[in-house]
Amino acid sequence: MIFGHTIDFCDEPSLNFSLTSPYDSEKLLQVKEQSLPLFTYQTEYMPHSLQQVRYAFHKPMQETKGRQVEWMMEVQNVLKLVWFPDSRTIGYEKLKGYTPERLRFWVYHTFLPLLFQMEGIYHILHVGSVEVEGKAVILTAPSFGGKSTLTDYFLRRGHCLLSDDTLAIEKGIKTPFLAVPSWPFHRPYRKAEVLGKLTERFATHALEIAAVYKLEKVEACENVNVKKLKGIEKFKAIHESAFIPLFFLKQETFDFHTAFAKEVAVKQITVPWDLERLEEVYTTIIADVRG
Amino acid sequence: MHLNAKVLFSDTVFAQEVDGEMVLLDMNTENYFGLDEVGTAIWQAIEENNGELVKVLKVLLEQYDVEEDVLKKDLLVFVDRLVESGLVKVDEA
Repeated sequence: MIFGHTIDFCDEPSLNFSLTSPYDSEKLLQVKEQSLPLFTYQTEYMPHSLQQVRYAFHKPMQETKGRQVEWMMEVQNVLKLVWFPDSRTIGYEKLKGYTPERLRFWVYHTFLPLLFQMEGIYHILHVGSVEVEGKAVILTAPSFGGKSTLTDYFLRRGHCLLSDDTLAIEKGIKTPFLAVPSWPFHRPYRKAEVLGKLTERFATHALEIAAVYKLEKVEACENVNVKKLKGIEKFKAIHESAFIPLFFLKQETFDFHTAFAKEVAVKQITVPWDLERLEEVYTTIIADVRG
Repeated sequence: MHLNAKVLFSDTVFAQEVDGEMVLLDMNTENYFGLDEVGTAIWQAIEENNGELVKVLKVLLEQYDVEEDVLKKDLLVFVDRLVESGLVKVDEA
């Protein structure tokens, strides 16, 4: 399951995982090569994952909020992806630099998170997340701030992965916020357009959230400390973890971030910048989760 | 600025309370601000009284054991800061 859905690469079956969890038709998305429509509105190309990416729509997004409409993401010289809401299909067109692995990368890494965010299915955060004692621990930090390194450490200590990059958050009407596992790859190293190493230790269903830990880099000799955040500092930790800020969903995003901050514990943990001390950071988080 | 002024909230500023602090986000500049407990009380009093500072002062006098002149000065200084930060405008008419 990818973000709680089954993604069927109809024309590239080698990209599919075997179906190990039951799914319903509402959670099946097909990815097919097909002819794509033309769009009236286009953005400029923008840098993303060392490529140039642009988006296209039939109407201005301020009008539609991106909900139940066709839209396109184009990775220059690689591929075009279009969402067809009526058939719940992701159509694609191959460009010069297309490869099946790049197709899967762009679908998982960027297209699906955007789709789920715009359709209001999930809210997406750019964070790492692992399972600890049946709950999700979320790790947030700026780029190169240690999220992937610490996520990888938790995996090596036997915990299950929920996310190494992009986590979906689900909120029901009377249910708490839940962390939805994204995809079963993790990247203890950085390489563009690569999902990373496949892991079998991947969470199989959405989990309640234990806490969000904001990683604060400190000198190698400093102590590991945990401090509970509140108010504006709590909001900042969440707001700065937004996946891709969508200008036409600013109000919804703000409302989500404040609601999430009200309900979920957010803490700051100092991380001495020394790989030899990762174990201390790990055991501190475990002890903190256990309370 | 004087007490007969009316505070007008900007459409591009979103506000929500988190842990007793008012979190404000200016969507144009992407700047965000946090108001402490007192600032939050003043912001909420402004919201609930249609921005009319005369009414806001009256509400705050009931909440805080402070001399009227002191509270009036503090209120006007606070609103001035909100204006400087671009979070509100003031109608002096």
